Amino acid sequence: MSSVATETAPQLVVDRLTKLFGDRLAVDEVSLDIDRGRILGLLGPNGAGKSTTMSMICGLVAPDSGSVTVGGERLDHSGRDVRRRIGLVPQEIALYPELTSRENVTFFGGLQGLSGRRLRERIDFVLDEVQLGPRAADAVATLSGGMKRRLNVAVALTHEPDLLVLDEPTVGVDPQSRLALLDAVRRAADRGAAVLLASHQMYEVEAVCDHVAVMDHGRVLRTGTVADLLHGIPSRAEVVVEGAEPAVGRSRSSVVEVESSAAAGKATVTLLSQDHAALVDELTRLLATFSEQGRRVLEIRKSEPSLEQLFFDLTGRTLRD
Amino acid sequence: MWWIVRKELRCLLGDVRASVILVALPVVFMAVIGLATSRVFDGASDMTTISVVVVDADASDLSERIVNAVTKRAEFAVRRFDGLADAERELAARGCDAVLVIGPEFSARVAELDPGDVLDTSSGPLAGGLEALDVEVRAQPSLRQTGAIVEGLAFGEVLRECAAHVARENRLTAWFLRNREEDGEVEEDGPPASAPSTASGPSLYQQIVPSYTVLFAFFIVTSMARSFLAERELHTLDRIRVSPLSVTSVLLGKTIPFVGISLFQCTLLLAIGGLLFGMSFGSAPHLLVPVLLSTSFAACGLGLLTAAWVRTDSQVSAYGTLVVLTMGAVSGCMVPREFLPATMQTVSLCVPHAWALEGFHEVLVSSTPRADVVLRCSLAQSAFGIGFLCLGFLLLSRRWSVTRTSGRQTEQTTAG
Repeated sequence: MSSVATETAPQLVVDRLTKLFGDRLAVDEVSLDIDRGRILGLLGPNGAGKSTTMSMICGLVAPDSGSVTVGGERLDHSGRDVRRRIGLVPQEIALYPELTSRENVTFFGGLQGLSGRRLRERIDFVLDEVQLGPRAADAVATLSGGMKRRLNVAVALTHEPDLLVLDEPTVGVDPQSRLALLDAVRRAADRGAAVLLASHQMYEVEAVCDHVAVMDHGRVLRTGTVADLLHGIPSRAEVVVEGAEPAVGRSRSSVVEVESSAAAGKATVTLLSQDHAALVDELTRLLATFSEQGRRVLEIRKSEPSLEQLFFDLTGRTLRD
Repeated sequence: MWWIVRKELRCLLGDVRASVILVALPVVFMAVIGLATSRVFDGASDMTTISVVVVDADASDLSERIVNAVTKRAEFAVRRFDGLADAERELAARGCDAVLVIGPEFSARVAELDPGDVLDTSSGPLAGGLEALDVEVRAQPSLRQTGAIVEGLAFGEVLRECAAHVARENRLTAWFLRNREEDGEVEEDGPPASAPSTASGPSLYQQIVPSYTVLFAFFIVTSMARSFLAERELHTLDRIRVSPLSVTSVLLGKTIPFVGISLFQCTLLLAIGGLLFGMSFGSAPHLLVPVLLSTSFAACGLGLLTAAWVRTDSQVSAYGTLVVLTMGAVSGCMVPREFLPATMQTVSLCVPHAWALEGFHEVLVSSTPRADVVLRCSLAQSAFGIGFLCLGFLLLSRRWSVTRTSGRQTEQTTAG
């Protein structure tokens, strides 16, 4: 089991969850845990098993084996109290279009056992939280896509869940709405919720998540803090020059790897190193060499270690669907 | 659960399409069908009488009595023709629905009968029906059922007159009859105890209003199925399933509003039937309550079962409508049940609509409605409702359940 270390007991413990659909192994012994106040980003290509894992965590899909524990209580078919601890934001906008924003929040808050003054307070709070207070009386059908997304999250926050599960909550929203949404998620975590956030947006995972788990083919391939995961991934510089493949020889620095290739009258020299300064030195030397040789440099590309790079390294670049 | 009830009511009351289907459409149907068929079904209309031409080739006192008896029947508009050829021409020209021919051997054949033959019409000479007495009914080829009705009613009149005639001709029965007359037990001019009522049948809207009320009450099946389908398509079902509510609470919460809506719909349609079309509520209108309750319950039970069965809106339109219309047609919602063949009337009891119609008929048409009949109809409908509900509940709860530990998960809609 991967550990997201904190001092307190994890709010969510997923232990070797496995799910088969027919002969297809959708989720293969996935183990995760999230502490109170922490956000775990779940990354993976389409079909990796993220949504199935989240469905099992929410009790929507029965696992073939393994267990889910929320706040120390094991989730099973009779676990109504456990389900009360969970707030789900489905990938789709799960709202009633004919009802107003307030009516939607009221309904789902009521289902979670809230009522009276407490319910009214929570409704006002979550609508303000996602900046929809002024549109509370408007039917959902009349809201913009971004507003619906925000309301989709607000509904899940109404009953102050201990575990907030968000499946790609920012799909199709503008940067302003995305910012508002992620701020609301961050604040929910700050108030003590454990958050599981599945997303394809690497930058938003980097920005908001404390920990990241990368899934593919139903398995968790890597997990840890963003810094942990990026540690060991080399910085990369590419120089494209005219003409045949140059004889660049070996790097002067032992910490910089040099590769070269040529095609269609252009040559590409790639430098890889975990030592940023050494990489810059080597790049400077290479450019000087090309200048002496009179070779025209067409392009210089440089990239720092990123989750996207890690993602591609772990899951490949082949299309999945 | 009551949150779901409130939400459903809020959504349903705002759904104009459902309101049109459940209330406006049946009223329009009643009005249109009433206008279109009043000349066929209305008891006060001339079209409900069968035009019969009588040819009396026997020309005896007995045959005259037969003609008079047939003429008195409210169902027949009788004209007398002297010659068979003229009558056949009238029939061919569609000037009448049927021709009743009393053959020249009629009185002679009656004279051969003894009281036993009259008492036992299944095995004696009368087993052959009217033909055995040289009486024949000819009808338009397109009106075979009408011909059968004329033949049946005419046979009854012939039998009644012949029985009296044969009894008087027989010594023993004549003696017995004389003694009864002396004791004053028989009123000569009074109507026979078994004489059919000459009153016109139930008014047109006594039949149309309950029929279409029942038919459209069951159209709530499509609204219910769409409601469940919408929860799936909107993905709100996932949120509901993640809530602490049990499957039972969710299903009850979604079903109860429809029972209420159905009750309101049926009551409104009957009220409109009374106010707009002059339908009578009978002598015991309180007996409508169990019929209405059980009809709504059975309709919503079928709605839940359909909701558990269908997967797409097209399936709701196809299966839901097909099931409701077929059940309605089989049970006699579209034509009066009395018009259905006897076999069909029996078969139709396999659908709840038929029991609803029987219940409504007892309350609205019968001069003295019997509570036990109404109760039986209501219980039968309730049994259908319970069966549908249980089956629907089993299917849905099985699909929504998270207790299974292996196999396919049919409700799974997305995969990460």
